Amino acid sequence: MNHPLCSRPFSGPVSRRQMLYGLGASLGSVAFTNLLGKGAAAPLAPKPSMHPAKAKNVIMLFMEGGPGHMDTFDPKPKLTSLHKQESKIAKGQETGFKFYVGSPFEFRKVGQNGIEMCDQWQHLADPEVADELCNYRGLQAESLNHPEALYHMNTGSRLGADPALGAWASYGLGTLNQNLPGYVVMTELAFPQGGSGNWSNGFLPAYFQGTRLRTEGSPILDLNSQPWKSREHQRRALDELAFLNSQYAARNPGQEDLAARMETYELAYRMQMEVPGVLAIDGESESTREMYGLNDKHTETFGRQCLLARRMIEQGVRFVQIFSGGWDSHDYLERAHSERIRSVDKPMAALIKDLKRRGMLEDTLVIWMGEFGRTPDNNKRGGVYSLGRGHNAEAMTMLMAGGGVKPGIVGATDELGLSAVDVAHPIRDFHCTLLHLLGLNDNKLTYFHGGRYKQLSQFGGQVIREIIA
Amino acid sequence: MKGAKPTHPELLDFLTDDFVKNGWTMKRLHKLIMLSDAYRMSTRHPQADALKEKDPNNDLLAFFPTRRLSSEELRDAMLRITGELNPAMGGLPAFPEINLEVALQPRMIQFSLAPSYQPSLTPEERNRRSVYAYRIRGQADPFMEVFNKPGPNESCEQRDDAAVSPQAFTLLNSEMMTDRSIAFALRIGKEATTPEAKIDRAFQLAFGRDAATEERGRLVRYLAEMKDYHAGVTPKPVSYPTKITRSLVEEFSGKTFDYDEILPAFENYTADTKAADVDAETRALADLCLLLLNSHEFLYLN
Repeated sequence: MNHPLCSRPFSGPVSRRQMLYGLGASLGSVAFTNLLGKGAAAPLAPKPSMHPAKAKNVIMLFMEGGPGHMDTFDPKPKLTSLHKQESKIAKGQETGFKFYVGSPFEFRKVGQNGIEMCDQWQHLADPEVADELCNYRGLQAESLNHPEALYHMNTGSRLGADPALGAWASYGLGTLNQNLPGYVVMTELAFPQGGSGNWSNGFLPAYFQGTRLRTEGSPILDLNSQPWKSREHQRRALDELAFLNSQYAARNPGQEDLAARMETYELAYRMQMEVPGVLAIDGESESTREMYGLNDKHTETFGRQCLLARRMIEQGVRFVQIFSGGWDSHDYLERAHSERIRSVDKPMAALIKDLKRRGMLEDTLVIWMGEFGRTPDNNKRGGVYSLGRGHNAEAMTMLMAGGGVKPGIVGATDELGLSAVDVAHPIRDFHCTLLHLLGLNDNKLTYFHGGRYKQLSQFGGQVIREIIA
Repeated sequence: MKGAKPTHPELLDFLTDDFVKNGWTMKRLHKLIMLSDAYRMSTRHPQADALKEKDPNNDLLAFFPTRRLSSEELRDAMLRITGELNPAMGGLPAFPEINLEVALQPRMIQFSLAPSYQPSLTPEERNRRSVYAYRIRGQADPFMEVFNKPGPNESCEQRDDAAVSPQAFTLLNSEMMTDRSIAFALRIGKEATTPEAKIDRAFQLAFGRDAATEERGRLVRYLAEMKDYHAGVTPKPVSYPTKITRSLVEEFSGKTFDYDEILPAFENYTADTKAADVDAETRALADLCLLLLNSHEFLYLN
């Protein structure tokens, strides 16, 4: 029997649910819980996986700008010996005189699995964390431009406007808490390049869109009533509205949708209580706050987001994504990367430790990655050697922990870090692997749109078996 | 081709023939369809139960399917009811007031931040029909978006109209709806004096009918209660920022830097009338108006 998500439309009586699934949808803000129609399954209700899942939830830490693999987890001593010597590499966006750039950082092995890290990583080097890490060095992007590469990594298409990873995951698996969004996104004050297209529901129904938790003001747009209206005032208004609507429904029998629409108001009323509860981290212990780096201005922002990610996964959110920018180091690599590493090192280590101690890591896949890697060389800027790197789609590095991945190093780049040479895979294979870990099959997780069955990988791909435990 | 066979093949032939013979004009075709008996059918059928048996899919078009107003219809209908709509045709695009948090939210474009969205200066310029609203590809009006206006990035063959809670948040809590409810209340206050007459006038404008006895009785009590409530609270005045500080990471150095973006529109801005500008009685009436604008009867087309 077909899995319900790949059933063919028009093959029998069309249910209201199929109707909904067949309609293109585009709706902003948080959108969950289909309340239309009695008996219609809620699209975000938990659904069985297609095969036994290794991971139930995902926390993706997205380093926007493209971290240098040779300056983080993939040491290239060869580059150090070639430092400032002329490079003849005819790839990348830079032209003219180019020279090799050795990493400004020292590297060492950490833990038992041979994981390598530059010396800027201090907390991640803790064996309790390092021994959980899988460092995959074989991933290859396609685009050298930030927005396109971000779209490709997040939606499977370089063009944008397709459903994001979290949207596909929610579509395939639903979510466990119907009073919270299934897919939550946290950004810095500025959006990553490409904006909300990175967490769009695309052609999937609106329920699956990523809900961005706002960094300032109301976490969800218009979540709270106007300040001079009390909760009792709102309750009173809802009761009056229910009266008006019931009068209308009595005069218009046979419109089943109406009761459901009224229920969206009650859900909204409940969410006003639930959402602030998840966000209220004042209840966390001082040791937890310290562990996530909330007491240090360098780590406070990312630390808070990591802590919120853990709290949301705990409350039944399926997919959480955190965007952290500033990794686009064309120059001043040492200063910029050490700064960025410092801002994420402690919070990320805390997140992995915390999940592990709570027994949540085995079900939760934590991913650290960017949209591409960086070049071994650079060009002069203003006539001087600028110590940074260009964009490199052919090589990058990513970390994974928990959720059924095998700790250790998988794949390799060449001795300069120019290109992946071992266990090299395109982005679509990473996407198939991610779905596979979640118990979903990319070829079966399809949606009929624009005259054909569409899937995350666009046209299929293969699971990267080497990274799976 | 996928899908079912046409339910009315002769009708399609007739319409096609008429379309071709009369100069291929879409306007004429639309007019012909929209003036037909079938198109103007009521949403209510006297024998709804029997119909469910005999024609469950309404293939024979015995009634008109109820539908929710589209985002543009919803906005325009509200402006019309409140008396704020500027029906002028053509001309320069209008910049309606959109959620201020969204308007001022930093929007990354290559190398920098896009300028903030700034609304047109006067209500008259802002409150034009939605078809004249300027569209920015990377920044949707959240009100329109939540009511299923499709994104500008791809074509949309049919809009979704699923009822989801963000619509409830928007319709109950947003600044835009608060402004509409106050404008509605101010209009009613001018056109009727007693509570009963005010309720009837509001019903006439929103629903095209007087309130039923039970509705009127209940809402008179609600109005009185809300008047008492509002007598005890003082809304803060709403202010619009004339500049905003932006924070960015410098691409080459990785250093954070700040700059001020000036927002000239808000230096000479004529805001809509706000809760702080009106008395408790008007705010109570605005509560009632807001309920009507949230009701099924207003949102669904019969």
